Amino acid sequence: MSTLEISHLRMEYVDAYTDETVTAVGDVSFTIEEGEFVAVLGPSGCGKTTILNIVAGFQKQTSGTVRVGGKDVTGPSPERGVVFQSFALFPWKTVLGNVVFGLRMRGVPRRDREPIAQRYLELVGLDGFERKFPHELSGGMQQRLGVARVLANEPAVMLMDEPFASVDAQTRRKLQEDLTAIFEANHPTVFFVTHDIEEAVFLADRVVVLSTRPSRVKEVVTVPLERPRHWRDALESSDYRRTVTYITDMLAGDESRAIPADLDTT
Amino acid sequence: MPGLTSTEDALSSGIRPSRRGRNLSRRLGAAFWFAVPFVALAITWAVVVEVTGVEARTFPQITDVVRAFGEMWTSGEYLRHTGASLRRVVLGALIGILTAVPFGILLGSSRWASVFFAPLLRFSVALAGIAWIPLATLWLGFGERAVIFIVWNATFFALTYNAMLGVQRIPTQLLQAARSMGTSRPRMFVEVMLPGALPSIVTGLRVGLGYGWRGLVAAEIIATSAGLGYSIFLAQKFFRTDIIIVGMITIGLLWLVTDRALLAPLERRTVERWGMKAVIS
Amino acid sequence: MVRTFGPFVPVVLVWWVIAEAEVFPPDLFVGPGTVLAEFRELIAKGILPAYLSDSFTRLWTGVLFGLLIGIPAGFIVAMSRWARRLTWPLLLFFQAIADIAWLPIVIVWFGFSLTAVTFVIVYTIVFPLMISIVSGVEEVPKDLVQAARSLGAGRFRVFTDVIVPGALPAVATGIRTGLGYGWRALIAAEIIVGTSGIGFMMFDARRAGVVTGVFVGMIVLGILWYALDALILAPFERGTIERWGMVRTAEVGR
Repeated sequence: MSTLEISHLRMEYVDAYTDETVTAVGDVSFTIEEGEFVAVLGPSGCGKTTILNIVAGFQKQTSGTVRVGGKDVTGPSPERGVVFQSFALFPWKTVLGNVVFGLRMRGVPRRDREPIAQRYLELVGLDGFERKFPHELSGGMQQRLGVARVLANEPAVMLMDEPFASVDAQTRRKLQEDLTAIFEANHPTVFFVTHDIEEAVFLADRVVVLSTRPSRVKEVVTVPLERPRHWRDALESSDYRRTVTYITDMLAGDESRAIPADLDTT
Repeated sequence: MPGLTSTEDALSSGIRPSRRGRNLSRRLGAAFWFAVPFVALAITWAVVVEVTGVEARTFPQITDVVRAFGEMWTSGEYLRHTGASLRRVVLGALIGILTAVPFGILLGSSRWASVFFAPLLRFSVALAGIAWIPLATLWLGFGERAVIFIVWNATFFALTYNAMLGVQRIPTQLLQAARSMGTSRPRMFVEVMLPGALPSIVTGLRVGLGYGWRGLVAAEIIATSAGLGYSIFLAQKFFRTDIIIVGMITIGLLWLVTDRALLAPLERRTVERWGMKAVIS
Repeated sequence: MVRTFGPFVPVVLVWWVIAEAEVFPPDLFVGPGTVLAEFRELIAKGILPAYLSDSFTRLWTGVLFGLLIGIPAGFIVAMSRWARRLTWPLLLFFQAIADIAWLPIVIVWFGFSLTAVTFVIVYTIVFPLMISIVSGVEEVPKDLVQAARSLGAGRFRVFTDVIVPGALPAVATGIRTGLGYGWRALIAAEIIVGTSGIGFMMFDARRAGVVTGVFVGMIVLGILWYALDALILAPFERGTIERWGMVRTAEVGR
């Protein structure tokens, strides 16, 4: 029902400086089944964030289709909730207010809003912080809030755009474990963009590996790890290491041809 | 606030009173230190006038000023003029806010509208306030309406421009987040753009009111027969420097109160409380 | 260039249409053509240039003195903790007294003269400038000062090499604010006091019921200040901030 189908997606745009047509996304096709966690991985500039923006409805593709539950994507919707790398929390709303926001927009009855929001705050471990403002929280907590805000809308697909890139390494590990735990408990459908191979393999059921621009799907790798997953076990698992190495080698050839970081327009 | 750092050292140390008590004593301490320079100024004033024996016509003694104030107060003149000025400022500013904020946010929400209107707005801000006085008196005649127009004019353009800038400065991802949570276009204005642009709006209000007050005084000198500007100009004709000084102090106090007791707390309760970057004006 | 002036073209067009359609009575509202014609005439007769130069001279005299007084005074106050404590409330208060409000008493002292006008303009510049400098110096990150100190800089070098550059954006902002108040005060002073200058010209036209003269004056003023602000002041302010990569205070619509 909430399957995400991407079919021959292509995205071209005209570079503002050179007036050339740039193809960010060449020909990308893959499917995410309901309840699956799929990581989309690729070198810098390969257009993975562009794909996410198209799926989210923030951008329109040049050609190709994106379907959720059989219906074409025409614009942003709570069905495809987005967790941003920059958190994108409303600074003027409290923690609770941020989570309640989506519920309000969808017209959820007033008396139901707080209990629902409360439940998701507990899920991400932010209970007790309802009255705080986002700027009073640490980076990790802010991202948890971002996740809670999206989950509260019970979206068909959760789109996550390198959500842990803005936090420090230790916090990142913790957030990855927490995300996995939440996923394993609730099984939302997740589309997770990242450039971090180890993160992708740890979190996902399958990893879509993209080539450099103009991007296409190099391969979809199934991750042979059992759930529930923990970092301690993963780091010692040979399956894990093998998968990571495999993907690393796959990308290594491309890295040398990858676009330099300062031209990154993912 | 620069210079008014910890005042705890000015207070006697020893027993730690309750939180409430400490807060109170800190605020009293701050108030005390705020008042000291004025006391010093007043003393210097009194002494200098005495010592130099300057004419009252040129520079009044502090007692003359106090007396003049007393006279104006009992005759009701003081309240009449102050009230007139205040009324005009409040009206002009209120209409300014009510017209400018929605308009500015609307402009900011549309890419082409903001690009189109930005230079024109900037030009209008450049001109806002006093430069409109001749035109205002031509269109609206001398009197109340012209003065209120000037105040409105000053606040309107500054607010519109800043509100527009403020909306433009809202991070795109914040707008995207709101859209992806199903916010309809109309609701975006109130739920996201208005709070998001608030820091800039407050700045615009500060700038606009700053020009507005100055415009008010100038307009009152030129265009009316009541109000603080008018009263100090009238006093000048009779060389009543004591009345002039009463007027000047009143004007200063009114703006100070507006800024510190109205605008600063407004900023504190919103922009600072939300941790948004306060724009330095 | 096109981007800056382009948007004014439709505005001028709309203006022209409104004037032609006589939406407002023609003695209260004139079109761009009339304004342009009057503008040309005033230039040909030498009136506009003369008034402009009068206004300018007054403004720049005031600005010069304002800078000469304000910048040193600002830094002196900023560097001394006691001076700051003593003067900050006074600065705030005097800044709060609208500069125009000084006109009457200044007229009592100096009569309807150039000195009076200059005094007011100096006043409008000095206080915003000093306030800006004092808070600017306050905001120079303490660790920069400490770093300089630990590298062997004495008090003087710290001042010239850390404080002054660090407070430069504040100086720029202060000048910009001060000038914004300054020219407005000048116009008001010219209307009230003067016998020449743009402000006087506008008010004179108003007195004669000739709205065109008022329009010309306003547009000339607007263009001049806009040009000054957009081409010199704002870039200077931005430049001082960006050059040292400091946190950008967002552009304030002034």
